[in-house]
Order: sequence, then C-alpha cells, then structure tokens
Amino acid sequence: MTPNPRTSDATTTAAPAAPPAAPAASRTMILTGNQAAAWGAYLARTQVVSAYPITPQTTIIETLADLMTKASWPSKFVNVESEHSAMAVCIGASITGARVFTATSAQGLALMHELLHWASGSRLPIVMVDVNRAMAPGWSIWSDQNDSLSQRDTGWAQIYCSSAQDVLDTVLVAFKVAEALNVPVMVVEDAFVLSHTAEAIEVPAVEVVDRFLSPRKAAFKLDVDHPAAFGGLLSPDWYQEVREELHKSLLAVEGEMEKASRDWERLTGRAYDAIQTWHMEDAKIALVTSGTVSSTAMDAIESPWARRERVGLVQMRLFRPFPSARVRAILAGVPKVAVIDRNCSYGAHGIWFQELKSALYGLPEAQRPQIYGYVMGLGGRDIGLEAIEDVMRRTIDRDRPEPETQWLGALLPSVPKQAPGCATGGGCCQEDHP
Amino acid sequence: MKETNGRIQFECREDLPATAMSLGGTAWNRTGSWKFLEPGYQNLTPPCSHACLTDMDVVAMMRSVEAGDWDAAAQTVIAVNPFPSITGRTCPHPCETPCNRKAYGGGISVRDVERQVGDHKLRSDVRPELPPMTHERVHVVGAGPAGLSAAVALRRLGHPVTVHGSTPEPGGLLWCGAAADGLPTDIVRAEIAWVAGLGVEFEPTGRFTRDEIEALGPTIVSAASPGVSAASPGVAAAAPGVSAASPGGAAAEPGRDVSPSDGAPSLPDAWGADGPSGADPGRAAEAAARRGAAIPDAIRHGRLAAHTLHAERTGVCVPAADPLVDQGASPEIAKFKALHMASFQRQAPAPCEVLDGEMRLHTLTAVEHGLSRAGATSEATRCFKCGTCTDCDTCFHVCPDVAISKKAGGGYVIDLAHCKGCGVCVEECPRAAVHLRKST
Repeated sequence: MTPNPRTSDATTTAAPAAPPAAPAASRTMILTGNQAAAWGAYLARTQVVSAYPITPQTTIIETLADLMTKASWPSKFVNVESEHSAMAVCIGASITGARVFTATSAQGLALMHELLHWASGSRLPIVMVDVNRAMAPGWSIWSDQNDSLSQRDTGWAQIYCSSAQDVLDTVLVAFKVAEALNVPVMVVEDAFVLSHTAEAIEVPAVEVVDRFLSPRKAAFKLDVDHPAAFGGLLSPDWYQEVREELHKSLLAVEGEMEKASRDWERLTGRAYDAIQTWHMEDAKIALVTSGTVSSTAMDAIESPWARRERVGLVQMRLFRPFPSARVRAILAGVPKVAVIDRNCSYGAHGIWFQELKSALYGLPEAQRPQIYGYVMGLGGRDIGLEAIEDVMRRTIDRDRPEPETQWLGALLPSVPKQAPGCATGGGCCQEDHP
Repeated sequence: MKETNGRIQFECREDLPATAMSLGGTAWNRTGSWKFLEPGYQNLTPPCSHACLTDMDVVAMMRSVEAGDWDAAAQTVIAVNPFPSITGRTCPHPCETPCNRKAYGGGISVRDVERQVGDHKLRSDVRPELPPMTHERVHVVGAGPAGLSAAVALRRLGHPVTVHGSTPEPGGLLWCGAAADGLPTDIVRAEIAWVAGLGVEFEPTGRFTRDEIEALGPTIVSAASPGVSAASPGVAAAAPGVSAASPGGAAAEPGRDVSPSDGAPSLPDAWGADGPSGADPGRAAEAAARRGAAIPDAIRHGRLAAHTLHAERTGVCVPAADPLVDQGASPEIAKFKALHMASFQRQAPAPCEVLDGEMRLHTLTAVEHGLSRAGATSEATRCFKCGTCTDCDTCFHVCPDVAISKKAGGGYVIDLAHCKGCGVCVEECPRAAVHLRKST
C-alpha cells in the first residue's frame, strides 16, 4: 500500500484515542502504527518525553502529548527546537533515573547522531521510535531504512516492526530490555505503510503492563545529594574496557529480548522473536525481509507456485545486536538466500545483505548458502506481491548470484545515450569513435 | 579500588563504572597552580554615588528598596543626609546624569526614589541608632541645612548639640526652598521636627560676634558671617555662604562636575587642600558662591565639619569623605562597558507623575510629583547596581572549577588553590564586581 503523497499528516491521522478506562485485560482499538507507538510509551508510564516534530513521526508525539496530559504519574513533555536538543533533553532526563521516550525520522535522526553516541555511551535506557523515512535530497517523506540503518554503529539496539500491534508490544519490550541492560533501544516502523495505516489491535490494560514493566531502577543516576560528574574524560587506560562493556551489554540484548517476549506472551498471548520464520523447515530458498515488506512476503510465499518451489521466509526483527548465531542456525544448508533491502550502503550493498553475508561466513563452506542481494523500494516505492515474486523468480532462475547487488523495480526503461557521431544509430554504442 | 590522597586507583576491570562518571572528587588536583591571573572581589564606585552631592551610597539604598526594606533604605540615606524628603524634591540630581541605565532603557530616577525613602522616614519616624551623649557639648551657629546636618552628625557621634539660629524657627535655606520652589512647608517642618526628635536643642539666639562664638567652646559656624574666622581651635566652619543665591531647587546648578570621564570633581572643594580648619572662609565662600550653593552641598559640608570637629576634640577619626572607598570599594567608576548586559533586560523607566503644560501656567505648585511607592520599587529593581556585588550568584554558578563558595554573611570566597584563573566569573559578573589581576 502506497500513501498518497498529497495527503498531509493531519488528514491521514485518526483522532487520538481516549486513555484506558476501567481495568480490563485489554481492549481492541483501531490504531495507526504511530498511535500504537504513543500508546506503548504511555502504558509504560513514561516520565519524560522530548521530541521535535517531523513527518511521518509527528502523530506519535501529538498522540502522546494528548495521552500524557492524562498521566496520573509525574511526567513532563519538553518542547525543544531541534532533534539534537530533543535527544540532549532525553539524556539529561534519563540520567536522573526517569523513564524517557522520544521519536523521530530521517533527517531528525541524522541530526541526533552525535547524541545517539552520548546516550549509549552514557548507558541510558532511552527508548526511541524511528519512523523509517528516506534521507534527503531529494526530499522524500516516504519509507526506506537508510535513516535507521546508517545509525547502526551508535550502540543502540534496533528492532524492526511489521504491524501496529508489533509496534505497541515492542515499545514495551524495548523499555524492559533497555532498563535491564542500560542500553538505548530504537524501535523502527515504516513510514505511512505502517505509521499512518490503522488496524485493529489489542491495547493492554495499564495493570497488565504494570505487571510486565516495573518502575525504572537506575543503576546509577544524577543525584544532587551524591554529586557526580558524568561524561568526563576517559584516558586510553580505561576507554576500551568501558566500551567493551557496552558491546557486551548490547550483545546481551538478544537474550534479554527473548526473556521479555516470553513474559509478554504469558500476559497477552503474543510472542515476538528476534527472527521469525515461515516454511523454513524444508526451504530451498529463503526470502529475507524486514519491516512491513515481511507482511507482503508472507502472502507471496503462500502462492502455490512459491510453495512448490519451497520458498521460506525469514523476517529479521533484531538488527542490533545482529543475531548472527541464530541466522546461521536457520540458514545453514539452505541452498539460496534472497535478501530484500529497502536501503543501500552506497558503493557497497544492501545493509541487511551485508550483515547476513557476514554472519553466514561463520558456517562451514558446505553449509553456506548462495546469497542474492536485491535493493528495492527506496523512497517509499511500493514493494508489492509482484515485486516479491520477481525476487523469487530471479533467485530461482540463477544458479549463482550476480557479483553486484541488483536494483529492482525500475519504473522507467534504460536507454543509454548515443555518443556524438555514432554511426550505429542508437542503442548500445560499443564502437570506438574517431 | 583504592584511594590514595583522594585519587581513585582501579585495580581490576570490575572497579570501572558503567560509563565515564566520577566516583570521587577532583580536589586532589590543585589546578590553582595553572593560573597567571587571579580573580578577586572589589566593588567599584557607581557613577551615581560618585556624583552625589551628599556622598550617598545610592546602590545600597536601591538594594534596600528593591528588597522592600524601606527602613534600611532610610538608614542608608540619613547616614549622610538627614533631609531626604527635601533633597528628594529639590536636589539637582547630578547622580542621574551619568547613570549607566541611560544606555539601556532609560536612566534611573534616583531622586524620586530618594523622595519616597525620605517620605517613608518621616511617616515611620525612622531614626538612626543614637549613642549616649558621652562627649562634650558642641554649639552650632547657624540653623540652616549645614548647621542642622552638622548637628545630626554630632549627635550621632555622641555629642550633645545646641543649634543657635538667628530666626525664631530653624531651617534657614530650607525655608527659602519652600518659598522659591514650591517645596511643601509641612515637609520642611517635619524634617526639622525630626532633627529635634533626635535630641538636638535649638536656641533662637540671634547674631553672634566672634568673641561670643569663641566663648561658647567647641563650635561649628555654619552662618554667613564674614567676620568669623574658622581658624581658632575648636571652631569649624561649615558651608560658608549658605545665604547666597537660591537654594537647591531646579534652578540651582549642580555643585560638582559629574562628568564620568573625570575621576574626581573638577570644581574646587570649598575647603581647599588643608581641610576645613585651615580654610579661609572668604575664599571658601567665593568657591561656594561660584558653584551655586545648594542644600545637598550644605548638608555634606555640615557633616564633614562635624566629623572634623569630632576628630579634633576626641582624636577619633570618622572616615566619611568618601564612604564607599572607606568601605573598601575602588575609586574607579563602574562604566557601562564594564557591565554585562546579557544579565539585564532593556526596561523603560517607571512613570513619573508630572503636571501637564497647561496646568503649569496656572499654578505655583510643584511640577514633578515623583514616583509612586511601587514605581520607586520598580526603579530600584531596574537599577543596575553598577560595580556592586549583589550576591546574585552568577560567579558561583559559572565557575567551572567549583572554586567559588558563598560566605555566611553574604559575598563569596574564591578557592585559589583550585581556581585556574579562567576569568569566566569576571566576564560573567553582571556588575563588574570581580576583577582579574596578576597572580602573585
């Protein structure tokens, strides 16, 4: 589904829903991905929110601002003049021991970049929703993953969602994981396709969430009664060790997330894994996707033809830490792996492709799949059923992958320009010219 | 983890904190040795106080008014000037000419604030603390502003005082002001009654000859008596020539040059270099006449004469010629460019009630009606308090080395063992009350 580019945020947004009423296990509400994100942050009893509006994130903050006015716990919504300041406020608030939430997109996330390092290096369990939006120029408000994936080395955990329910549940799981390990977590959802598309979801009662998520207990905090300085100079004698601890904590996210997901499943019946698979038990081809493309791919692999060709689906949810061991376990011995990347590390490959390839290199050579990389759907171009079928067919048809990542889904034909004075009269000009 | 001389040593990886954070203090690091410049506190002389004809500590008055402590404000004023309700109406206010606020919203109406303070003094009968009268009696010949000012100053030093006047009621020039400038007579009467309330005695003795004066014992002469010499021991002359010209109303010239570019008054002091007892009254009278006699001038000279006489008779010097400098302020005047405007708002003056043009043609009452009490508070708040530490805590907050701490009774102390001499406190001080000097 492609959003209408002429429709503004405001007109595509359903009115913010009322806060939860009488205690009940849950109730069904029609929420967009963004509203679900706001509800997640609200149900987590977030204490401080600071954010700067940017399409397509804005409705998260609008919904949350409205919900927070009804918060029965001490809470503060801090207006700022930029995303850089928003994250700075989040860092300051989080270091006092508060539960802190923010959200952004694209250029906003890029502007935060320096402070993303500060948040993780300061070991602050901030939870942020990033609504995947393509980077400018040219200006685009539509979805692709380059904004969040290019923050991969900032020390933030990253979880990619594929439905509004997923977004709400993952925000809550993210708080639990973040606060258990003192690492910041980024919850990622696609622009419009998810952020502005409403679906019926289960919104748990506050009491349910309270049983899942207890108030934050900060391991260390800014305390005026016990003054301490934070973020000071760390000499070469100590820096590496402190950073290694951050790395270890980030690696522990995968296990912690699994634990939190099981707790959540016990309360709500809904479970999420770092990697989710369909029809992988005897797959000859594994289709690897992330974000909302996964939902379309779920349909695509159910066609009789795809079933005959034994196409399985691997939905990647956790990007950082990268679940390499699990990737190897799932894909060992699968002959072909096709990776759909709605992003590109320019001059290299699709980013999920790179990460997967890197993980699979840890397999013995005989078990290593052929890995096919496809970049598509940038800047919000739709990745529909046909596009996914194209990916499957290309992978089936070729015994070996192309040496370079394939860009698919071109809307215009490629007609190379005729060189001046070329006698061949158009088409591809291979001649040497005087 | 072990601590040696305040320094923490990590012994294993598990000692390390989760992030770069301090586990102890940095006091062991005596960064004070890095500096070649060191900050220190010293108030500068505000331009208003420097220009004041009565040497008033204008900023102290403003601070008290701002704090709502009108009694304290009155005490500040009457320390140098017993008649603020009169000078608050008639003084040519040379203090307002060099006001630094002029460049940032409009000058402060110092005189109108003084007027409110004076009226408060009368309303609430604020009196100075008076010591028992343990010293010898002093006679004051002349019951004008100089004589009464001298009398109050002497009474405050513990002298019984008798003021001799040539008219049935004391006041002299103060009454001229009432007649010429529309100064309300009830104000003059109240101010004179206030002096009497301090225990100063008045006798309408009439005119004295020189011999009669010398027979009185310790005496201050503050009357226009060309035949009287102030040279004999025990006799000081105050503000000669007070009978000259009009009193210190709007028509009177400011007594002193108050150009802020000049560090000292350029017009000669009435007494010359030798001080009051050595002055030639003729020359002094000429000087006084030249600069235009004014009530505040008379008040100042009355006080100085009292202090001189007291010093002569008791051997105890009362430092009073420049009260701010005596209290430790630098004689350097706080200029606008030394102040830090980022700390202030550009604010317009409080409205002052004045008679409109048409009415002025049909009445002889005062044109200026001064500020309301709230207006005076607003002006006092707007006042920069140039060159004066107001305990605003700016230095305390900005010091990157946490080397500034607050003293119990106000003010700050700098821990020079840790101050790196960066000068941020000096740069950020709103009022130029912290200065850098070469480190010793």
